[in-house]
Order: sequence, then C-alpha cells, then structure tokens
Amino acid sequence: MRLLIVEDSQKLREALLSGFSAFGWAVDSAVDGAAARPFLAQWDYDVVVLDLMMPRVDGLQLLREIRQQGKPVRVLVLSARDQIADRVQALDMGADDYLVKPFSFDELRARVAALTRRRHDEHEPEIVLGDLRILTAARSVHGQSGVVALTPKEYAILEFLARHRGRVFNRTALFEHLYGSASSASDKVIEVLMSTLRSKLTDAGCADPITTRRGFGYVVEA
Amino acid sequence: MSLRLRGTRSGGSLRHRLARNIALMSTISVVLLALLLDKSFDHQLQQRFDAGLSARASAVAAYLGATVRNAEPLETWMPEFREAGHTDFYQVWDTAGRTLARSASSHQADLPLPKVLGVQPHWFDLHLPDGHHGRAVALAFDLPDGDSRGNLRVVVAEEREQLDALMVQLHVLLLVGAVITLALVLMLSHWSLRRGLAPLDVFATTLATTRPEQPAAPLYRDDLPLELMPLARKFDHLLARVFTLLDRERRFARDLAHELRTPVAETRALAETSAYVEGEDELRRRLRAIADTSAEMERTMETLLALARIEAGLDRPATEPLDLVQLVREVLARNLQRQAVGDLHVLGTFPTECWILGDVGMLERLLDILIGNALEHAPRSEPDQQMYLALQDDGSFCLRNAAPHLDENVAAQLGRRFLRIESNPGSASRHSGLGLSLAAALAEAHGLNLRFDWKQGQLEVRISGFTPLPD
Repeated sequence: MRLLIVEDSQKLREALLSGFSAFGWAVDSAVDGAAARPFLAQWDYDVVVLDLMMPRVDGLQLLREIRQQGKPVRVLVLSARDQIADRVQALDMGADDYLVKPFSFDELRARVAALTRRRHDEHEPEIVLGDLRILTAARSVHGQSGVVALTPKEYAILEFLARHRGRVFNRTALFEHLYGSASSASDKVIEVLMSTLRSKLTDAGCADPITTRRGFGYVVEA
Repeated sequence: MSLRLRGTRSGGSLRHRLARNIALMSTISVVLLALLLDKSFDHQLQQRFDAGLSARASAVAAYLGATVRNAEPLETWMPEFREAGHTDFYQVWDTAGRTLARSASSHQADLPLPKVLGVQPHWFDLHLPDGHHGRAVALAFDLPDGDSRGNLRVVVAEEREQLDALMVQLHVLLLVGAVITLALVLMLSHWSLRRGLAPLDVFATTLATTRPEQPAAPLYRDDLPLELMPLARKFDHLLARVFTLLDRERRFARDLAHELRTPVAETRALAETSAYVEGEDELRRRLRAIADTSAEMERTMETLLALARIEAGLDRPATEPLDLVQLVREVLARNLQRQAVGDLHVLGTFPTECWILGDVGMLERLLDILIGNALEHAPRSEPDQQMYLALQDDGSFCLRNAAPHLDENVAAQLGRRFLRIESNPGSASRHSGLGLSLAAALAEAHGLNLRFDWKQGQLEVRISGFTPLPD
C-alpha cells in the first residue's frame, strides 16, 4: 500500500512516516503542496494524508488539483482546523475523510486502512484465499492452524497481490508499492520477501496462493 | 414592541405605574373641579333666586307701606300674585302680628312668619300654600312715624321646584362632563404614554435581546428622548467594550487551540510511533524532538498571552528617554550570541546616539523579534550573505536581508496570524507568523508604523514614527 504524507511539520511528517513504514506501508512525504506535485505525478498512491495550512501550495489547492486531474487516490485531510465549516469545505472539495489534530496514530492508521479498502471496493475487512483469511483491519493472516506470523512487508505483499487478484505484478511494480521513493533498498528484496512469505505460509500448513510466472512476475489467481 | 420581564419581582411596568398615577390624579382633579363647579353654580343660582325674592319683598313692602287705602291692589302691578298664580305668594303683618294683606294666590292660606325678624332679610325654605316646595324671604319694613300699623313684616315666597330641577340638571351635566373628561384624559394619557415611552421599550428590548454570540444593535438613536441619550451612549460604549473583550477572549482561546494542535499532534505522534522504531539513538532523537516541541508550545502560549495583553490594552507603553542606537546594538549582540550566523555579514549604519521617548521593554521585544527573525531566516545555502541595519536620517529604523523564498504578496501579509510561509529552506523550524503578529501589535501599541517591503529578493522591515525628545 502506498501512502503520501503532505505535512509542513517536519516532526509530525517523520513520525507518521516511521509509523506507517513500520506497518509495511510504502510511504513518501512532502513538505507542502508544491513538493507533493511531483510525487503525485510519478506514483500511484492509495491514500494521501494531507495537511491544510502549508506554505506555497496549501492543502485545499492540492486537493482541488488532485480531483481536477481525476486521480482515484483517497485523500484524508489532517488539520488543526476544527470548525465544521472547515470540514465541510474539505469534504465538499473531494476529501474522503477529515481528522483533526491532535489525533491518535492508531485511529489515523485505521482510517487510512479503511480508505484503502474503500478504494478497492472492499466492504468487509477480510480477504479469503482458499484456506487463508487476510484480516485487513487487523493486518493479520490466518491459516487453518491459526495466525501466520508475517512481517509488515510480507503482509503488505500478500495483501497487495490478494487485493489485485488476477493481475500480474513484476518485481519493480511490487517494490514501488512496498517501499517509499526514498528507500535505498533494491527491488531484489521482493524475491527475498516472497521466499520468506511462502515459507511461512507453507510452515503454517497453508496452500501457497501466489503463482510465479517466469518473465512476468507474481499473481494471485482470481 | 413591548417587553415582558418574567421571573423577577419588580415594581411593575413603568407605563402602568404612570398610567395608574395619572388616572388617580386626573380622577381626583376632575371630581374636585366638578364639586367646586357644582357648589359654585348652586350658590350663584341660590343667590340670584334669593336676590330676586328680596327685591320683590322690598317692592311689596314699599308698595303696601306707602299705599293709601282703597288704592289699586298689588296684584294689579304684580300679576304673579293674582288668584290664578300658583308660584308666587306674599303676606304682610303689622307689629301686632295681624295679617294686613296676602296675595290672592294664597287663597287665604298663611305663610309662615319667622319668630325673630331683624333688619336684614331672612331667607328660608317652606311648603307653599299649594303644597309645593318653595323659598321665602322675610323682612321688617319700617313705616313712617305715626302710621298706625307700626312696622310691616313681609314674607314673599316663590316656588323653587324649577330652581331645584335646574340644579339637578346642572348636577347631571357636571357629572356627565366629568366622566367624559376623565375618560378622555385617561385615553389621551394612555396614548401619550405609549407614544412617549416607545423609545424606552425599544431601548429595553434591544438590551434584553443582546446575545454574547453577536454584536449588540446600537441603543443610541436620533429619536431617543434627551434624558435617555447619555444612557444609550454609555451603554453602547460599555457593550462595545464587553463585546471586544468577548471577541478577544474567544480569539485567544481559538488561537491557542489552533496553534497548539499541531505541536500536540507532533508530540503524540512521536510518542505513539516510538513503539515501532528501533535503536536508542532514534528514541533519544524523538525525546529531543518532543522536548523541542514542548518548548515551542510554551513560546506559542507566551506569545499569544502577550498578544492578548497588548490587544486588551493591559500593556501600555511607559515612555522614558532612551538611546535607540544603544538598544539596537544590545539586541543585535544578544541575537548574534544566540544564533550561529555562519557566513552572514551583519552591517550597521548608526549615528553616535539617537535619543527618543519610548518604552524600553516593548521596543526591546519588538527589535528582538525582527532581528531574531532576520537572522533565523537568512539564507544559509549561499556564502557571504549580508544583513543590513540602519537608523536613517528620517528617524526610522531599517532592517534588510536576503529573502529569496518570499515574494511581494507574502511580504504584504507578514504580521498576519497563522501565516504559513516557507522558512529558510532546509530548516526544521515551523513558523506560524505569531512572532511578527506580536511585533505588529507591539508597534501599534507603541504608536509606531511597522512596514514590510520585498524587492528583488530583499526583505526590508521599517519602523517609523519614533517620538524624539522634546527640545
């Protein structure tokens, strides 16, 4: 899952970046609307967490641009403005959710996850792949013998492929969805992650739902 | 428009109290006037009636006293006493009490003769020979010496029922007149009171409907009674002050909440996400960041409190002679010690001294904010940058430095609260514009003109309007 945080407070930006990264999200961050434009032009984000009051290009201006361009990205506005009029304005302009500062990180994470589900038209926070159940709200995977202990990145790769069943993703595409643009890791890490993920699923007695198509990439069959 | 005040014990409506008093006073006045008129009319009528009786009694006495025997009877000259008459009567006695004459209308019936009769006429009410109610006058008439009759005693009576009917008619007319007058007075006073007290109603309703959520409608109006005008002016002034205070309080609370939300969010997010980071160094870094944020919140609160105090007029300038050059030098030196300026060159053009009248504390804080801001936001990426300070010939203080990240539009908004501008690129600090807001408030409280101009990448801050020492 790919997330863009647009926030002029460096401390808050970094805290959110580290928090979401810890849950396996691919996170990018921008200091204001102007800095966010190139990110939005280059990457396909699931959710944008957007502050409103920022220098140069503010949040509402960026939100207007996103909607004018018809991007399907979900936008969660994170703002110090707590008046009803502010919320109404942001939601009327195309924001999908609005959270007033200060906030609980867990609530923000849950709202971002809910927005992601909505983007993929999932009404239930559960994806079933044979005997495997992926609980997207709890970010956990259950096999016949119980919970399969996955790292955030392993979970993220499984959830991403499960959400896009029938679509083949090559290593680069998966990497882009799992790692932020500032990451120094190589896309070869995907092969490592895939290997450890499959081992854990097998060890848990689950059938491996991921198929490798040589020369094309990985797919969870529809 | 009327106003009802409920749930309070009061002396009642002013209009009702006035109406009640006016009604009472009017009633008393009209009743007294009616009684007075009634008495006066009765007295006048009675007097005229009695005077007429008295004149006729004198005429009767004179005629009978002077008349020689076998002359024409009195009824020839005074036909009301004839036999057919039934309203006028007379009777004359001699000293011995013998009846000498009586009117033909008496039909031999006697009129009463008072026992004591003096020189002055004596009036009395009686029942006439025909049984009607009447009034009579009795008088003694001296005859010339030698007249065998001695003195004449004359009683002339007249029916008074017409007079009584006239008096009753007058009573009724007076009563009806009094009632109509009273009704008119009450109606007119009620109308006058409504009309006269209408501005008071508007005044009270405006006051009563004043809500703290919205500014009060002005109480002062050109059509107010003169007596209420000073009150309305005073109330307007007081209400304006109250609303200003309320606004200021609301603004302070709103500003404080608004400005603290982000640092509180930073602190909470840093604390909550610390559970997911690894390494003591990162945890230490986060703790430092939380401490920095707390300090920032403290500064924000202090700044907002200072702004609120200045705007409320609690911090008024206490002026005294001071050397502005010395003050600028001290503030600059303190800021240079506080901030690492690197390659920034600070240039100054000052006279030896410049004495003005000013508040040292407020000016020091104002200069501290401006110089501190200029040093903090000076571009660090380019070498040999300059900051220029000067006290110019026109007595204004000028501060200029490079600000390539600003533009004319942003410069025009400097001093506005919560203005988010891009600070020194690469700086981790976040600015809400409160510092310059405070500077603007300080300058205004001190009667100074603070101006920001941006030209060709340079931001110039100018303070003018210093008060020179009197000659």
